[in-house]
Amino acid sequence: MIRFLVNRLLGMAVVLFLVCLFTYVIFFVLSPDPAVQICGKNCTPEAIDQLRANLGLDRPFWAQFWTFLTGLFAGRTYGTGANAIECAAPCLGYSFQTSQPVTDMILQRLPVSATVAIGAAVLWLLAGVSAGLLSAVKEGKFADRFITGLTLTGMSIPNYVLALSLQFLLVVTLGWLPFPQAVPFSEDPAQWFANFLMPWIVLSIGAAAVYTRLTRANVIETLQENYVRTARAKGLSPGLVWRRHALRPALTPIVTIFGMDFAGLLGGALITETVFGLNGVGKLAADSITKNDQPVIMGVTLLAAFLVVVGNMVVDLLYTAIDPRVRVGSAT
Amino acid sequence: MSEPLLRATNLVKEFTIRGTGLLGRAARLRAVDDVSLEVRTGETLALVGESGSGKSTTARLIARLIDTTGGAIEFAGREVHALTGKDLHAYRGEVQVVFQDPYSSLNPKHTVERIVTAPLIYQKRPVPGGARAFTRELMERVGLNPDHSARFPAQFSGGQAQRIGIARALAVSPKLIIADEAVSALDVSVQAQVINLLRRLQDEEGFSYLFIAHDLAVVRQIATRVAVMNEGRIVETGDRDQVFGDPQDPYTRKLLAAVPRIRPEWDAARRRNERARRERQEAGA
Amino acid sequence: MSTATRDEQPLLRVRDLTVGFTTAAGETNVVKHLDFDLARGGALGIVGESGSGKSMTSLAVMGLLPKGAKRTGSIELDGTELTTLRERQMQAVRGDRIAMVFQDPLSSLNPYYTVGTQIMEAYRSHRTGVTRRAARKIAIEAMERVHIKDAARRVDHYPHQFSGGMRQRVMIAMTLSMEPDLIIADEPTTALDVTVQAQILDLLAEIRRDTGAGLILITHDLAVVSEVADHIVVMRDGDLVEQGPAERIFCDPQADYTRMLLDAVPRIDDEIGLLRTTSTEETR
Repeated sequence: MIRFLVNRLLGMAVVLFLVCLFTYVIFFVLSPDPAVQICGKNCTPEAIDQLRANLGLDRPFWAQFWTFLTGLFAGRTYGTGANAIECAAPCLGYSFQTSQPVTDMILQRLPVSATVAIGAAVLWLLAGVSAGLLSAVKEGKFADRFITGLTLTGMSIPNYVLALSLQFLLVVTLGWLPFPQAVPFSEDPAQWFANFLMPWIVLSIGAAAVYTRLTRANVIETLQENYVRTARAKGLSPGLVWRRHALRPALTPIVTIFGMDFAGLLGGALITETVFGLNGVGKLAADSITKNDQPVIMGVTLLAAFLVVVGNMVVDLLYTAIDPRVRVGSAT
Repeated sequence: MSEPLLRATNLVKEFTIRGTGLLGRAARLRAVDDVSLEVRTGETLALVGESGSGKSTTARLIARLIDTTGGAIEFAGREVHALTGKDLHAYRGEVQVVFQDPYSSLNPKHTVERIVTAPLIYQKRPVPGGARAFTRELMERVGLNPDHSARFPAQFSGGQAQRIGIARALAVSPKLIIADEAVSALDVSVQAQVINLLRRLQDEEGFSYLFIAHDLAVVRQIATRVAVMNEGRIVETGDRDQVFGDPQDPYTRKLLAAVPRIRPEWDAARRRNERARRERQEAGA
Repeated sequence: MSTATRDEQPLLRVRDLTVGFTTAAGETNVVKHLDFDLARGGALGIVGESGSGKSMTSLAVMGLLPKGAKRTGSIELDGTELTTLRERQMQAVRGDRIAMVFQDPLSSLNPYYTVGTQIMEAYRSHRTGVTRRAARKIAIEAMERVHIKDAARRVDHYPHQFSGGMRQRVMIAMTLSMEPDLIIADEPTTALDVTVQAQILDLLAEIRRDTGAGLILITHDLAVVSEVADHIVVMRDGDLVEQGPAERIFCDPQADYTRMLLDAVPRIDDEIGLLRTTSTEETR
């Protein structure tokens, strides 16, 4: 078990290192020179060279990458002397456009993205799994076909269309929800909840559709298993057969994709946050792309990659806990 | 005694069973452990054993479907391991395999004609007499209706599909046919027909069989010699009647003792009754 | 009911059993007008090749036919008509009075639960007020009765930690814990190695001797059935070909099909020659 854990952690470290390397290559080697952008319009070649030296951009690639990596763990200093800028660990970079460390910018916005992600995840998990179960129980009947039709719609509507139409319908036309305005939870819980309700719905619908289909397929497949027949042959009641022998095997794979989906969402929901004016990581990314603020874009990318890798790891560990075939080796 | 057609010496095959991480040694499973065997021209060597005995792995090593970890395989005087390109192609023509599940080993989207002529075309050899006539002749030889040459595998019963697999093996006139549990999945009445067919074809063509099976009663009907495998090793080799009549190894004895059997006195009574019935019928007629 | 009639009455009495499916092509019957009796404590073998309807017969007795199957006729267990029972009443019969052992022990056991849990749950759902501790004791005893060594520890193991033969022992232990009147074993040894098969057949015989339970053995293997059954039913394409005491079926088979089957079985200890077969094979 410990060996398994160490193995997984080492593998994760390697993946994260590669992610850092590739991201770094993409943003700092293949993009336009950051020094030119920082310097602005009225800039002399000398000034650019000066900036480059200050930022360490004149050093070889591996040296720059090394500084970046150590910055992640120990922090780093941009420039020298009086102009020096401290960037504390974990230093994901420094945004010269906003004069802020990228880590701080992300950390400020992470709670909003987390709220969006957690709410949406709860919603889609509940909706998806229960609709999938209903669909499986009523296989081939009207309810099943109706739900299957709904999932098709849910999967094919783009997020932004759904977001805009929901906003128009619920806020403007029907007036069921107040106009969104940023308030902390402690001040006005109702308004806070209303603010997040629409993003939750928008984000959860596509995933709920996928989860519905997955649950349905898994349950129907599990009901064909020989051990379900055995359970019935033992004279267990249909409820017990369902609860014990159909649900657990059928829902285990859901855990796997849920971890991945949730981790991906924590890294920011770009479109949804932008449409609803939520100041989360996704909005930060969108804004930075518009302004071409490269250190921020890269920081957000790294965070997203990190979350997915960690999510994957958590899922693996969960799977080990859930499935005895993985947890306990065969001993025959 | 002449040189054997096939001679395998000290075959070893190991598989990695776990440990794909960055740390930790990979655990190895020795599926075939120092196996030596010979197949002579025109004979049937049966390789018997229970599941996990390594018999099917041995068959795959000999067919060169997987690579050996150690040991040597010699076929008609040539080292099989060293064969490449054209020679390997030729080897694949001389050694054919018939698998257990006929449906999964025949392409469901191809007609019998295409399936049966595929080995020749793959080997870039001409089809003697044209594809249609060639297929018809082969189908007749394995007891299939030659008019069905344009049908697909799913249109045949299990026993018939297995006959198609046998026809495909025969197409390239092989010297050795490896039958890997080739009759195990068949119903008993169909199994008997296919066993009879395999025996008849050998009498006609003079090729050899390496017959892999777990069913000792079936093996007894078809084998010239028998090699018994257990846990990757051959525990006993000998002529059929010697192995079945006077087994030397304790494992062979255990295996033979476990085979369910119909009481011989019941069989004897049945034969008596059968004769009496026939006599009555003849007297009546 | 007096004891005298109880003793005369067969344990299982099947009359005119027909199982049919309605498909796009129309009505097809996979079991047709089957009649047979199983004497108290007797062992009945149902033999047939694939498609003979032998497995459907066992599922029909259990009331576990797949969706869309139609069952007519009469199935009496100890004088109780099973076909008219409500699903709830049938649940009380299943597992408790009729238990079943299936072909593939690995896929027939749920990989997510220990074998102990799976043995116990049958017991606890049929007997009310059984504590976990008591049920666990029953499970361990059942495992000991099928000769699983170190049962007190093995009870907490998962199915994948057992070998094929041991898994089938677990399945049999599961049926034993309930002390059923009738055990239906559907190809219980087909997926097993020959040495393991011999052990499982011995075990089934031992259990019959010790508990007096009736046994229905469903198999394609004539040699196996000849060793186990005292009464044999031969089936083909859903039809009853012939039935009778085992010795009569093997010594003096009446139906051509039975004779053909017996001719086709390769013997381990009889003459070697061309296996006699029917001349034509069916075409799909």
